[in-house]
Amino acid sequence: MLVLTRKKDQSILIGDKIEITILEIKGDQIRIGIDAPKDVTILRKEVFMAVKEENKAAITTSEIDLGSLTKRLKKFKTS
Amino acid sequence: MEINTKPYGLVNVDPANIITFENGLPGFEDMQKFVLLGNQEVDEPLVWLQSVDDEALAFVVTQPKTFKQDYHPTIHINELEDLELKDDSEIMLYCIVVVPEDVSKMTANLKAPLVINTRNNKAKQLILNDDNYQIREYILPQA
Repeated sequence: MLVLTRKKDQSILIGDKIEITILEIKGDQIRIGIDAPKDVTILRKEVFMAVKEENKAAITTSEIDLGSLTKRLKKFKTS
Repeated sequence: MEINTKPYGLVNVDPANIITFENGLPGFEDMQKFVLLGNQEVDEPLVWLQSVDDEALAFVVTQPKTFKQDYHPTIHINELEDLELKDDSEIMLYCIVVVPEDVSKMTANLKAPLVINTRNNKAKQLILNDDNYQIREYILPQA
């Protein structure tokens, strides 16, 4: 991993289209501004990891009777 | 073509209906080919998203509007560039459902909807930078 030290208002360029700026440093929190093309996905890593875990949780269920689940949903919708 | 499916065993599917997730799904990056099984009419809220390559891999999915009528996530068209959309009307959204043992607590992932281009069947799971929607949203009203 490349490690760089930056101060407030200083930036890092990644390639020629991505700029990351340190906006504010407050205790153990740092606000970061990111300029990047819209087709570049920018995510908080923990959100990506949570989606990954949730996808895995979705298939571990053993037996699912879609018919009875559907009935439950419809009952709630018509009630 | 015939494929083995988790919910229904051997099923005949039309290759034209195969949905391609070019980058797979988070956690299942190698799985690219899926089909929707079951009645996809709006009044049948739950359908299966079955992997073509792995019989054991099948998700229960739902169209978010079937239980959340006001689901309007902000999606930038650039985020969907690889789906080659020509028009918004081509978009079909599904959310992955987690069904726990107590089914009244089943949840849908509204934070990361599956976006399908119905014209070419290219799809991706998009993670929203929209904090109005959660990874676990109850489908049924909670007491």
